Amino acid sequence: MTRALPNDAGHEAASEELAELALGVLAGERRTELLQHCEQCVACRRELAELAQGLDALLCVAPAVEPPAGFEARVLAAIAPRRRRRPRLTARARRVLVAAALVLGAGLTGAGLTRALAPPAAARTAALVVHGHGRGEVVVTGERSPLLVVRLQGGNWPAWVSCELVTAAGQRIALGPYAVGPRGGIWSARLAVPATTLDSVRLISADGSVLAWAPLRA
Amino acid sequence: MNWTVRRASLPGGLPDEALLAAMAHGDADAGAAFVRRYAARVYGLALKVVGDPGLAEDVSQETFVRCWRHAAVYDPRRGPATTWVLTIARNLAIDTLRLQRPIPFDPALLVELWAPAAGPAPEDEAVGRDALAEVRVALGSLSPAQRRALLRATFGGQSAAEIAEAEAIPVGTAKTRIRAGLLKVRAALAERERP
Ligand SMILES: [Zn+2]
Repeated sequence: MTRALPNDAGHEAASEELAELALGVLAGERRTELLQHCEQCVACRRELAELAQGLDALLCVAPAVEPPAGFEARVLAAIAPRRRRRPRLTARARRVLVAAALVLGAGLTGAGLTRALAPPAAARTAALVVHGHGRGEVVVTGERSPLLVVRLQGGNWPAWVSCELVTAAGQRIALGPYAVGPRGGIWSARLAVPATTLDSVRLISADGSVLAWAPLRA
Repeated sequence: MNWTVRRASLPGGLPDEALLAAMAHGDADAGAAFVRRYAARVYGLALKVVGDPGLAEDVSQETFVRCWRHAAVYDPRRGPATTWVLTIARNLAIDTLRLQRPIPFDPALLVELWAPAAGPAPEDEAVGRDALAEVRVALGSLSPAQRRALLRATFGGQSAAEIAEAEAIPVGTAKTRIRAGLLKVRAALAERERP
């Protein structure tokens, strides 16, 4: 073991500066040195984690303040151009789309903003029926190419879980496998079939046994 | 078999991790819900650091742009989304503050963070409402000098050397004050969690 002993001179110097490391106010070189020390030193690693928890708690103390009117709309306008554009658009169509986006961004006030920010049509959430310990839920949001979100919690999940969707017509769609820990995990997938055609979802372990399932019928 | 199918108005009702997972897939509705959920927390924190409404708004907007861009790398096992988004906001705010120098950061303006009369705290996943009160009590129980040092480092992004200069104290003293203050806040939380 190369672990530094608590009476080590390097350890003494490091522990004095751990708070600055946790607070992110340390200059580059010293920061690297300290991080290297923490890799070797269990005591410093533990204290660094505690100091970081202290900082996390302090950040929550700042009171919430509503941002100026139109803030959400401006953020959404800044985010929207980053979304993937459809291929095979002519230059002119692209210009028109950009113009439309600008108008949309500029016009998102009052009722328009309320509409833009209103939650979309109800998505479906189904609790997973788990064979064994643990719990989870499945969310399907969107209609034509819906987003599937699977969230597993607690229990004793295997390292890898595959997902099998069954459509009303009996078609099976395999997804995954996804990395999950014993405490659970979350993953999502964009589906190529409409939400209305889904019948159920099953979660399957590496050995093929069914771990859980949920109904997805509308 | 006994199962339930719930209907929820989503994605506003989704847990943070699911919103971020959806954002990672380019779901703008999830992005809008996420912005609505955290706008006031992010803006409030940015305002505390930079002290200027216009700059705070710029910082807040960039925070959400980064959340959107990096949603795929958020790992719920490493901590709640609240901590993730507030940490991004703090880092951006401190970077902005550094660019604004020599505008001095004034820890006296942060008195409401720990004073008992502080406004209602939002419900929080990372630190519950009661825990937040404990953190305030812990902040209030620090000596004024210790508290100033901790607030300078936390919300002003000042290093021990900068705090030493501003407070006319030795650097070693500044280091000790930050560390002791942060550990005291952490201890107040740990004390609470003990059954
Ligand atoms: Zn050490």
